[in-house]
Amino acid sequence: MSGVEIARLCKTFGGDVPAIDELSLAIEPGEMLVLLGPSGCGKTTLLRCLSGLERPDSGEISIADQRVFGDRVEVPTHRRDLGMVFQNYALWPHMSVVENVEFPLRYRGRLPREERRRRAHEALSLVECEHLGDRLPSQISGGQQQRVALARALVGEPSLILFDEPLSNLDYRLRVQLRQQIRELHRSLGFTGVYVTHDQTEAMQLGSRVVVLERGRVAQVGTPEQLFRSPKSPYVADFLGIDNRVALERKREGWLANGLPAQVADGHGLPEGRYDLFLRASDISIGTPAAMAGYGVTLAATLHDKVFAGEVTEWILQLGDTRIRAVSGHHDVAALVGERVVVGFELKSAVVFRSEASTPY
Amino acid sequence: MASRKNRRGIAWWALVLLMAVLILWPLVNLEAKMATDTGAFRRALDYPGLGSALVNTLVLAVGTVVVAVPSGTALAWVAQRTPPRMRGVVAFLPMVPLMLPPVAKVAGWTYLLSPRTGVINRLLRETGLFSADTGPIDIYSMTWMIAISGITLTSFVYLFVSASLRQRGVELELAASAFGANGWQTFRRVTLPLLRPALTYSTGIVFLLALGQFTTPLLLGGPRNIEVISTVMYRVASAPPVDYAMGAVLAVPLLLFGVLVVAGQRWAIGDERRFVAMSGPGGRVGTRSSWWALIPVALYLGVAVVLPLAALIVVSLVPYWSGRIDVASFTFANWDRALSNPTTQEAIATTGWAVLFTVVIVVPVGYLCALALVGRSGAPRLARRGVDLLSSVSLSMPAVLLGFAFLLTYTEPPFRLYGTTAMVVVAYVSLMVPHAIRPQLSAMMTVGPEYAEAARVGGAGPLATAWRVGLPLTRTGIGVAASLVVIMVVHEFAVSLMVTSPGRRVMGALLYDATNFGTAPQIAVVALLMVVVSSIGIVAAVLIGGTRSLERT
Ligand SMILES: Nc1ncnc2c1ncn2[C@@H]1O[C@H](COP(=O)(O)OP(=O)(O)OP(=O)(O)O)[C@@H](O)[C@H]1O
Ligand SMILES: [Mg+2]
Repeated sequence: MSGVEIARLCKTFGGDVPAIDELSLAIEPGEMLVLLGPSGCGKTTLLRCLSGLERPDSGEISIADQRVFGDRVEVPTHRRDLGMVFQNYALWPHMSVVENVEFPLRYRGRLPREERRRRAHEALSLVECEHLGDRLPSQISGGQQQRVALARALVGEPSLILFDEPLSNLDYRLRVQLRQQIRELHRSLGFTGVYVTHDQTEAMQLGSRVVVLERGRVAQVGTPEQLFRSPKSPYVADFLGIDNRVALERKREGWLANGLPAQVADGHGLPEGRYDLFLRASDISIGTPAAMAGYGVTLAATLHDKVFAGEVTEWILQLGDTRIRAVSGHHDVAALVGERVVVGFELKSAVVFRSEASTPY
Repeated sequence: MASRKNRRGIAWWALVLLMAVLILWPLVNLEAKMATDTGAFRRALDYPGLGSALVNTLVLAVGTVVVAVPSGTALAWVAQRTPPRMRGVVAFLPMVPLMLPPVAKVAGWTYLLSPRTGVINRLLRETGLFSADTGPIDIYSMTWMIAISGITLTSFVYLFVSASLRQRGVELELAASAFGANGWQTFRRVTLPLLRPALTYSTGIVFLLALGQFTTPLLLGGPRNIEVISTVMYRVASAPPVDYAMGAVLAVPLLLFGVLVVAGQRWAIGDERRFVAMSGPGGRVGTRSSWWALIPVALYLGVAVVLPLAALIVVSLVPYWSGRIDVASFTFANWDRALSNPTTQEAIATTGWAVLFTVVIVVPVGYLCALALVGRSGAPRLARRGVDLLSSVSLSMPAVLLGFAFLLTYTEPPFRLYGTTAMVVVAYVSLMVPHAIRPQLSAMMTVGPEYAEAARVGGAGPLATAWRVGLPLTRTGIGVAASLVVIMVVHEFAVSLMVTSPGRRVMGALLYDATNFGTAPQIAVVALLMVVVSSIGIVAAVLIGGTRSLERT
C-alpha cells in the first residue's frame, strides 16, 4: 500500500512571500485528502510539487515509501507513478479518446497492444464512456471530457492520483453527479488521492480528511466532521462556511451581542471578556419571544430578507451592524420583512474564540 | 538532483552556444579585423563615393518608409472594409507579393519601366505627350528605386497592421462614430492612436529592411552608379583579394543602426512575445463594408504581382527583347536552352539541396529556441535571454553584412568551406533562425503547458512527450516556419551572391550572372524558374504543416 510523506516543504516564487511555507503532512494509503483554501493559498503549488512539475526550494517528499524529492534526490515527474486530472481536462486533441486513455499504459511495463486497448476500454467503462472511444476530445461534451480524463488518470493504477479543481469548469448538475462518481470510484478502487478545491461542500463530501491551507501553511487537518464540529481558528470556521459571526461580550452587568443587549440563560461559565462566535446557519432559529424562550441565548434582531430556497428557507437578520443568516426546513415563521424578531441559539453549538487571541475557548 | 539540473542547463547553453557560433561569431570575427588593421579606417574614408553612398542609403531608407508605411496601413484599413464574404481571401491577397522573389520582381519591372525598352514607357511615348525617345520614366533613378522598394515593403506593413486591426476589431471605431465623429476624425483620433504599436513596429522593421536592402539598389542603381552601403560592401567582397578590414569599417553604420532600431522597438513595444499575441480571433462586429474597398487591394496586387509577372512571362517567350510584344514570335526556345544548360541545372539542384538542408536544420533549431523562449521548459533564464538576443541580432543585421562576415569566416580555417554547398547552408541557417523561431513560438504559446504536463504525469519522459504531444500540437507552427524559411531562402539574394563560388551557383546568383552577361529573355527564364521553385517549396511546406499554415504566414 502506498502513502505520501511531506516534510518541511518550502517553495517561494520571485517575491519574498512563500507559496508553501514549512509544510509537513502525511497522507495515509487509500486516503482521499482534500486541500481546501482560498485562492492563492498554495494548493496548486503543493500539488505541482508532489507531481514534480514544480521544484520545491527545500523539504522532502516520499510517495509509496520511495523518496521522490529531498536529500539529493529528485525523481522526475514521469517516474513518480502518478495520475492527474486537470481543471481544463488537458485531453490531447490530436488523439482519440481511447488513445488518450491508453497513453499512460505505454510507459508502464511492456504491455501488448491488445492488452492496453482492453484496459483502456475497461477504464472508460468505469466512467461510463466506453461508447466514446473512437471520437476526438473535441467531439464530446465537457462532462464527458472530464470523465475521460478521470479514466486516463485511473488506468495505470498509479500510487497517487492528483486532482486540481477537476469539477470547477462544469455546470452545477454535472458537478454534483461527477463528484458522486469520484466518491464511489474512490471507495471501490481504493486509490490514494490528493484533491484540490476551494469549494467546501466538495471538500466535505469527498475528503477522507480535509486540510485547510492558509498562506502556504496547514491551518488545520481532520476528518470533515472534526473540522466542521471544532474548527481551530476563525479562518478555518469562516472557510468551512460557518460564517455567521457574532461579537459576544460578557460584562459584570450582563451580555452584549454586537453591542446590543442579549439574554443568556446558560453562560457555560465563560469569564468576563470579549468573544467571537461562529454559528452555523442551521443552528440559528427565529420566532416569537415565547417560542424562543427555551434557548440558551436569545436576542432581538430585524428581519432584513426572507429567501425561499426550495427545501429550506433562509432568513437574513440584521443584528446591530452585521447581518447573520439562519436556515431551516420550517417555512412557517410568521414574521414579515422589516419586523422585529427574536433570534435563539445554543452557546454549545457555536464555535467560540477569544476575540484578541483568536484561540478557541 | 544537482547534476540532473545542471545537465539540463548544459543542453540549453549548448543551444545558445550554437546560435552564438552561427550568428555572433562571424560578426565578431569580421569586426576584429578592424582592430588588427589600423590602415582600414583610412582606406574606407578614401573609398571613392563613400559619402554619396551613405547619403543614398539614408534617402532610400527614409523614402521607402514614407511610401510603404502609409500605403500598407491604408491597405490594411481598406481590406477590413471589404464585404465579409470576401474578407478571408482579400486579407490574404496583399501578402501574395511576398511569395514572389524580389529579384524576379525587379527584373519584371525593368521590362516595364526601363527608359528605352520598357513597355509602359513605350506606351506613354505613343500617346505623343512626350517628345524624347527615352523615358519619361527612368527606373534607374533614385525616385523609382524608392517607389519600387516601397511597393515591395508595403506587404510587410500590411502584415503587421492588419494583424493588429483584426485583433481589436472595429467596435472602438463604431463607438466613435456613434458619438458623432466623422470618418476622418474617427481615423485620426481612434484608429491611428490604437495602431501605434503596430505602426512603430512596422516602421522600424521597414526602415531596417530598407537600410540594408540590396536587390533593388544593385539591379537598378548599378547602371547610373547609384551606390548604397550594401552595394559598396558587395563590390568590396567581389574584388579579390577582399579587403575585409575595410569592409568591417563600412559595416559599422549598418551594425549600429540595426542595434538602435531593435533597442528602440523593444523600448516602444516590449518584447517579442507581446507581438506574437497580436494575432487574435477576428472581430466579428460588422463595419460598413463596400465593394469599392476591393479596388485598392486589386490595384496593389496588379502593380506588385500581376504586371511584373506578366512582363517576365512575355519576355521569357520572345526571341529577343525590344519592348515590343509580338505574339506571333513567341517561342519556348529560351526555356529549352536554359533547362538543357548544365549550369542552370546545377544551380537548380544546388538551390534545392540548400533549401532542403537549411529547412531540415533550421526548423528543429528554431523549435528548440522557441521551446527555450516559452519559459516553461526549464531553460535557465540567462540562456533564454541569450536565445532571444541572438535571434534579434540575426534579424536586425542586413543580409549583406552577414554575407560579408560569412564569406570571411567560412573561407578561413578552420572551416574552409568556400565553394561547397555546406557554406551556403550554414549561411542560410544563420540567417533564417529568427524566422524559424517566431511561428513555432506563437504556436507553442497558444497551446498551453497542460498537454505536456499531462503527458509527463502519464509517465512519458521529456523526449516521448516532445514526440507524442509537443510536436503534433505545434504542427501548424512547424509548417509555417518551414514555408517561411523556404520562401525566404529561395528569395535570398545578398548572401547567395556573396557565399557562392562561380562553380557552385544558386539560382539567385545565376540570375545576377544573367543580368551581367546574358540577354533579357535569359534573365526572365531564370527569374520565373525561381518563382516555380519557391512555389514548389511552399506547396511542400503546406502539405507538411496542414492547410492552415499559409494563412498564418
Ligand atoms: N509560476 C508562478 N510564478 C510566480 N508566482 C506564482 C506562480 N505560481 C503560483 N504563484 C504564487 O504562489 C501563490 C500560491 O499560488 P497557487 O497557484 O498555489 O494558489 P492556489 O491555492 O492554487 O489558488 P487558486 O485557488 O486560485 O488556484 C500565489 O500567491 C501565486 O501568486
Ligand atoms: Mg490553483
